[in-house]
Amino acid sequence: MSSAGGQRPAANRMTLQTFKARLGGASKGFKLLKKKRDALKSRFQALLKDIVDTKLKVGESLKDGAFALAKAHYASSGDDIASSIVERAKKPSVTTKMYPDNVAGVSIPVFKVLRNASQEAIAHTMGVGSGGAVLNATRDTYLKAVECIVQLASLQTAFHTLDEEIKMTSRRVNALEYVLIPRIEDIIHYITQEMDEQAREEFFRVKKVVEKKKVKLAKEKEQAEKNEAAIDAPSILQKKDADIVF
Amino acid sequence: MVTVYSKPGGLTTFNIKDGFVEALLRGYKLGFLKDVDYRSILQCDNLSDVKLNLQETDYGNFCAEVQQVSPSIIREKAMEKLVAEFEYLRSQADYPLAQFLDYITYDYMIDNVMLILKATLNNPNVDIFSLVKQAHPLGQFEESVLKSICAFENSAKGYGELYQSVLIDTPIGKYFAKFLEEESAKSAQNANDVQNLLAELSATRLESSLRKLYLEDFAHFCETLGGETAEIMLNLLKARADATAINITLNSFDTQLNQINTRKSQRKPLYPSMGFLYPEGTEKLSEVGDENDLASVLRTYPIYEEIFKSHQGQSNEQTIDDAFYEREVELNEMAFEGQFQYAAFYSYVRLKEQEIRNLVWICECIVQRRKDRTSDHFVPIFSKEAKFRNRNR
Amino acid sequence: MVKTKFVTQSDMKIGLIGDEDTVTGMLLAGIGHVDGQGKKNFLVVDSKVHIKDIEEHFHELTARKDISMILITQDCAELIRRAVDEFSHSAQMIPTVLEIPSKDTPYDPRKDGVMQRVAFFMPSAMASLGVEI
Repeated sequence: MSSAGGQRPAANRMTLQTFKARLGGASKGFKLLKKKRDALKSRFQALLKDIVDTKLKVGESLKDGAFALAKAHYASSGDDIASSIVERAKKPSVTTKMYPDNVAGVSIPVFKVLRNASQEAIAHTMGVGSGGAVLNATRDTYLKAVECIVQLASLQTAFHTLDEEIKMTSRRVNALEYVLIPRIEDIIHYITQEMDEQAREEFFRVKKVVEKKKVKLAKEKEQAEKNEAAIDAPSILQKKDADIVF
Repeated sequence: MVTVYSKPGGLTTFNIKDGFVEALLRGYKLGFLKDVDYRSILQCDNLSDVKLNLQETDYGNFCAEVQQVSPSIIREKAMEKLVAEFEYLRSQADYPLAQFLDYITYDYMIDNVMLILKATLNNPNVDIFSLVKQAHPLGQFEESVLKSICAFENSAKGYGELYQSVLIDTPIGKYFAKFLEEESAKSAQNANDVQNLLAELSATRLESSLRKLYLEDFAHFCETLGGETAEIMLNLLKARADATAINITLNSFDTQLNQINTRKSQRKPLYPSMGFLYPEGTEKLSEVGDENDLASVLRTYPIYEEIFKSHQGQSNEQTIDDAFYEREVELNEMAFEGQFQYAAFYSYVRLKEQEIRNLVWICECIVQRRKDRTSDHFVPIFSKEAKFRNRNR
Repeated sequence: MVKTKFVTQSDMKIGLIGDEDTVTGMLLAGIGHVDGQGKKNFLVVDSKVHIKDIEEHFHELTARKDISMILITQDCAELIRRAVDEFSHSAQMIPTVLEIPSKDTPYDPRKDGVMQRVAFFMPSAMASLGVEI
């Protein structure tokens, strides 16, 4: 802890006031950020489970897809469906839409699957000769897989964003808790100490002054008494001397 | 004399020319995986075990040089074996049989041309050599033909020239010619608009039409061969034509082909003009609008009614394709029963293809750890356990 | 610090790098996009494709504005692990890189950067995905 080392603010009531205000602000911010962090964290924890679940689901659905594809390979006999599908690709009938979602003030992208049925119609003419039904079943399985994957993508971006955000918020919380607030407290402590010190000094000084004054007063008094005594002494001038004729 | 030589001949004359090739074929028949082989393959937990088990069978060391086997490699290697066997048969064959074997390959040629055409139509920059590798090896063209197909890839106008200068020389060129002729006659268009006709939207139509023309031509050829060959082959081809017609109808339900005004004009021309369903069945099919209609049309054809039931049954295990495969296997096995005819050659290729499908399917199931599902889609060949055998019993 | 403002944007594509079967399936579902210059949003990785090409394609996809997420099968991700990690540690949020299991090799969550992070917060995560740590 850099005990507010070199530069110390002028210790006076005004700076104390400003620092007290800063402390108030910092601790309020600290509390808010902590709340935000906790909110993010609880969301994050919920996300973890979702991610694992969806990951499993994606694995399952892709496995189903691969299986269905094997079936389609089987059904479409000699035809190489793989290449005709690959070469057929031109315009996607499945696209995604991205829109922001808000979690505790953090904007997170969410993806949604959009299907364009008119584009699909072209693909439907595939395998009319044989295996069309299986091919359609395969398409449906893969569509499910795509939906799962898109869901996973949303979760994963949310995961990433939240992860970053939590890291950042934690850093801020920690900075407030362990650096900024202690430093301000330190300064306030210093200022109050300094001011107490000043007060004590002042008191002592006043005391000293009073003491001096007292001594001085006593001296003066003595002097005055002396003077008075001197006055009180009978004046030869005023005494009537019988011996004196005139 | 000429007629004698251009026909397969019967009991007395068949062996003069085709005896050796048929003997070879009968030998190859023993190469089909038996029930016991399937059982041992089904026991496997990984593909290396499958490979090991296949060594016991006719496949032998067919993928010995491959370290890491995958279903697609197994498919490729098994296909190579089939092609090798087929080429050997072809090299031993004399005129009518050789022609017959060539007809078998036309089917795959159509596949390959369509593959390349579709690919280049959609994406002019496609890597043509990788496509050539994907093409079916039984329908392979000569190097020069492929190269020239590559040469035409770039321009849209090129397709017309492609047809006129390349495809016309290939065995399947006549189907193209006929297709274009029909099309231009129908739409009263100029015959020069080939490239328009070959454009994307009609690709499916082109394929169906080619297939249809091919089936008809093949059937016609078989008819000229006469005798038992014609009898059995027509049976097989008709069954195939019917399967195509039913499949097209069924698969068109979600597409624009099913719109009332296009049903007759667009969908009906796709039906082969042959088969057991032709003509009154296909006529009815062309008006079908949904599955219930289709079921009621098929009700009059007991075999297809049963096949269609497997589609309507809600269980996922059996699709209509499986049912058709099963029936095809049944018919093709029957073709082996008769001697002194060519149908067995056709059946051999079809059955072998089915076997490769079986093998790939089982391998896929093993790879994906879904062995419980293996029985869904495989049709053992010459198996005592085949469903149709048990049904007859 | 990352302070990205996400605006609503539709018609975003899904990028894909993977083995043939995975790509085929996803394209069948309809995610494929080829633009006028023949640029694709997917890449089929087979034995002939160079690692350098995969990496290039990956960077190309990440640079595109109309891509919301990039799916990459795990074995491909392994090949360009460095690039993938680099991207996921960068401040860029969009596109999201998702590692998906490929058909032939079982999925290993230990190699997935996201799952590593998840497991860090939730120790039971790996176990529920069926992996011993």
